[in-house]
Amino acid sequence: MKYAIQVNCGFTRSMLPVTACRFIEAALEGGNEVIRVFFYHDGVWNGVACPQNPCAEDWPRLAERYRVELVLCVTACENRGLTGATTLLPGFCQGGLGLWTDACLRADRLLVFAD
Amino acid sequence: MRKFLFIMRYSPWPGVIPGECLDMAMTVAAFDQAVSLLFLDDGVLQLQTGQIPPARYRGRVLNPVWDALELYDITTLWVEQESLRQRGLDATRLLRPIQLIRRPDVPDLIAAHDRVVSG
Repeated sequence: MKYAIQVNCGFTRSMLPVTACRFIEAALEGGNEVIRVFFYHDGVWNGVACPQNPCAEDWPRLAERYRVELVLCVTACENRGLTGATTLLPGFCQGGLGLWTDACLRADRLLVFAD
Repeated sequence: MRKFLFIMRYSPWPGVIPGECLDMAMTVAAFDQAVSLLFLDDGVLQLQTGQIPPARYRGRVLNPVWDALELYDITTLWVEQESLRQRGLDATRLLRPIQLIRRPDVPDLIAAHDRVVSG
């Protein structure tokens, strides 16, 4: 199964990013493919390097071990004041909605982690 | 062509989420996919006419975006009757003509689409 993953919520409001992280790892270990993880809405906070981020080590590990693409929506970042000066975790990059659409169209299934 | 359904569940302000959902819908539509919108819960407030937001939220008024939807061929809009009724809104006084759907029929509507995005 080829998945496109969208994460809509930040780590301050819910544990969904942790669930997303674990799901992605389990899916990849189970022989599935994750085309891209796209962080939208408040989900873009997950890419910020800060001690309160419960997945601060998990996301970079996923990116390194499985070569998963972790894309923060650049417009959602701007809407929340996350500018070029913000320190992102390793493995994250910024990109546009075209990348999300591309992942949606190539995947068998889109999975949205939203509260 | 894939059928996308965007479920709009948030009130028009103070958040930026409704605008971001519309950005997403219009991007998908620009890639020649079929796009429908479903307004649920507080999302129905986005459709209310005569809204005057506090000055600091003026930039987030979505009315100009609504007019652009037709250019992107996003013409299938659904609103849930029960959400309207719970918020005291009148279906005949919404921003644009929109199809009413009853809550028990929502699962079938969702099942009829290939990609469902909630925001």
